[in-house]
Amino acid sequence: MSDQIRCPMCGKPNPADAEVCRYCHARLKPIQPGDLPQPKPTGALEAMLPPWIRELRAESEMEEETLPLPGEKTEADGSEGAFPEGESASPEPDADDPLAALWAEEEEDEDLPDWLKSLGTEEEASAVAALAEEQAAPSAGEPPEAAEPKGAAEEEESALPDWLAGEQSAAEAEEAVLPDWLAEGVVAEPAGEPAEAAAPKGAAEEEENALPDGSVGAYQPPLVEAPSESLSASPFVESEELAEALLGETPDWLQMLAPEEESASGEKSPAEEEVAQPLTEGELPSWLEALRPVAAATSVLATDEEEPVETQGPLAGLRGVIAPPTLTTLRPGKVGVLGGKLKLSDEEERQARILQDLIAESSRPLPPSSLPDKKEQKVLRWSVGLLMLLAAFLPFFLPFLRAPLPRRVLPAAIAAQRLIDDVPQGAPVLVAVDYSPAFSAEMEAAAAPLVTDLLAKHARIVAVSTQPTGPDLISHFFAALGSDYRESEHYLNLGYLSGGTAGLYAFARHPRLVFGYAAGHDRIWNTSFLSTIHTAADFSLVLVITEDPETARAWVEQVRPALGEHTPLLMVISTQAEPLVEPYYETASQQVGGIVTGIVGGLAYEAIRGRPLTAAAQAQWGAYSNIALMGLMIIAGAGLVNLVLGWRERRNAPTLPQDEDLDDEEA
Amino acid sequence: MASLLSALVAFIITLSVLSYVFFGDWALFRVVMYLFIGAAAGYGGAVALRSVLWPMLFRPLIFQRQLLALVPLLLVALLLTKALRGKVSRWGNVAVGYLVGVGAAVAVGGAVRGTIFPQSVATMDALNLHLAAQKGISPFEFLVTGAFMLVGTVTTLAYFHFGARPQRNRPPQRAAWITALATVGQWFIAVAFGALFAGVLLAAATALAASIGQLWQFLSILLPH
Repeated sequence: MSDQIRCPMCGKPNPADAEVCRYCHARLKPIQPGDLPQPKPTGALEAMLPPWIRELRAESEMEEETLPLPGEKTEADGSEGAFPEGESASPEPDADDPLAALWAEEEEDEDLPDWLKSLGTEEEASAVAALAEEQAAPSAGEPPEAAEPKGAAEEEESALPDWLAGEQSAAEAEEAVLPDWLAEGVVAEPAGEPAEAAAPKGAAEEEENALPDGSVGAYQPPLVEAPSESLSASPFVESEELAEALLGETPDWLQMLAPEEESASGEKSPAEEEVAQPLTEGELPSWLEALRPVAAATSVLATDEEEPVETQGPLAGLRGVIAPPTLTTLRPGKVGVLGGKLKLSDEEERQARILQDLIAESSRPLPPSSLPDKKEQKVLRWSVGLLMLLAAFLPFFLPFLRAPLPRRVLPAAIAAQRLIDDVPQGAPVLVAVDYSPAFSAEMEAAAAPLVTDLLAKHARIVAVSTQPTGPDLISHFFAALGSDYRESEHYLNLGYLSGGTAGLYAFARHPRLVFGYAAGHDRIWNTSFLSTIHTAADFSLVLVITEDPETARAWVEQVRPALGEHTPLLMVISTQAEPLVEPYYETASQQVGGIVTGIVGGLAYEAIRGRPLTAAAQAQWGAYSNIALMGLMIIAGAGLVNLVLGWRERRNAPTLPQDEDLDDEEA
Repeated sequence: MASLLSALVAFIITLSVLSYVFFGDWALFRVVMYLFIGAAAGYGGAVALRSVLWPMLFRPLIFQRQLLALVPLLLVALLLTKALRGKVSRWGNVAVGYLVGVGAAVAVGGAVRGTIFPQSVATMDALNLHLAAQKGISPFEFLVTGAFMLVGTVTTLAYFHFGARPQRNRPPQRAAWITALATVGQWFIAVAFGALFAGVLLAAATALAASIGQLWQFLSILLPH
């Protein structure tokens, strides 16, 4: 045992010649005074110091001049701990008045911090320390005798921190293994004597050198749960360890600033002066204040021997400084990827594979089976186009392929022929050219026979259009009828009628107002075409040429009511508008007096008139007939082909099991 | 020469449009389409300026001092604010509201007087034999035609009747007799759609025949007789 020493920090045995603990790296042998680094002259650095440090030093020097000698009791001392036991801090109460001292003591107790109040006077501290030992002994697992009072050494032990006191008590039997410096420190300390301010100062320097760094830095003032009113003594008197702690906590830069001469001559360094200087309880340094929570926390945590000892960093060698995480401090977070492989049986793997295939199958997009591919579409488009063009061109080359002219008599065309015949010679007729250029061929072919008859009657034709392209279509239409028909001579082009349905409504009732200011038409209302026109009812006939059923309906709804009974409404419409316009003709009121539908209606009208068709008209009729026939054949043929293909596909498709079959299989 | 040049242009443009059948939306077809769209837009703007704005707005305001023309001018200015961004465009709602209000009033009034009432009366008179004598058709033909028209109209209207009564523990369903009429009306609607499609197809056939005729006319000029 003699060749081993026990670490004062972790308590584990170490070789006697070890400098530091091999477990907690705490220093086992104290640094001797000769080993201390010698302070160097720092006069050149004085100018670099911050102003507040220089002011602090100046104040310290001034206070140093007025500082009493150690052990002297002055009224200026604010710290009670600077005085022996029984002497109170300034202001000194009147000796003749016992209540004054009592009042002063109570006031001090009220001003003291809680942790400072716990320190008390020596007797109180001893009593409290004994009480603390009694409380700490069972929890620390110490033997019962450790809690018993054992004289001065134990009283001194009571002034030590709990962890150090416990360490000492537990190691009394093995005192020989303690380091010399620690043993000397324990023996040399006066037992039961009041710790004077001067004595701790000198001893504090020794202890500062003697104690390991860890012990100095880790000193915590004892925190005893005792009635605070019984503790009023300052820790600066009773415990030298506190002074050591204070010195130990002195910043390095402040120690470096202490001139060597001062140390050598016995003058106090600023840190020493700060310790030796009697401090009032309300003037604690900020750094000491900053220690209080840590001290309180560590003093509580340090009582547990099971708590870990810090092995790294500035807290190396301390026990229970950092609280271990508890369940309440643990927060849920992302769980790391766990290794390993799930063990599955063959059956489970097979089922998992089936499920995986089902999921993949359900998420796979179905191919558009209903749409043919691009190549197939292209072939189909080329085939239909060629067939249509062939059907359209053949009648021009081969006259025998032209379809015969329609012989069917259409009632609506007969009604139109009657209306045309009823138009008096030279009567005003309104012609609305309301078709788009794309349908000009159909509309011109259907309307040309009617307008030709009107021109033959020298009707005063007034043309108007609700389409922006209408004015040019009017000119084109009459130009297509023949070069003999000229504008303003055979017909009048009013041009574009704006406003849609509202424009139609206004024109039917106030045509002079609507077209009164037309450019170049200021005097049109005085011409022979319009001289007798004040409303739409003044026209002998209104002929509307349109391919749009909506336009036809607008004329019926807005203009027809303004025409009256003597002005019929005749329409030349496209085949695509016939189903929607025909009802206006079928009504008993005959909103539309007659209808000529498309190229068929035009040819029927020509057939009624008995006029022969030109070769171009016959060829166009042939092309139209062949295209319609080809379209019919293509649609019908494609429908039949699709019917057969669908039937074959359905016949060759695998039959899906019925529900009953599935039930049988499951059974 | 001018007619030949115009015929050549028409020939090329016609061929370019017909090429869509074989080559789809290719460059030449798009060029012709853009040309047509641009020409139509420019022509429409010129027509609006020449036929509407100048004779009906600016000319009366400038030369005839008609202050009443300031009202449409104000509406035009307000409508132009719709093309601007920000809160200013809200002023255009005044002009739009005026247009919508006037247009809806005229359209609704015309529809009631010109379509709904006359067509309803005509359907009611579908079986009126007195009208058959006036039209000069046989009563049988008139009755058959009238009955067909009446049934078609009623059943088609029944098809668009979607009202249903709530039922206990069952989803709301139309009445049985309405459902039966709607089923018949569905056939009439199908026939009407077929007639419309046939009309569109024949109109397109007419346009194609006219285009082929123009091509043939141009080729006949070039080809020796």
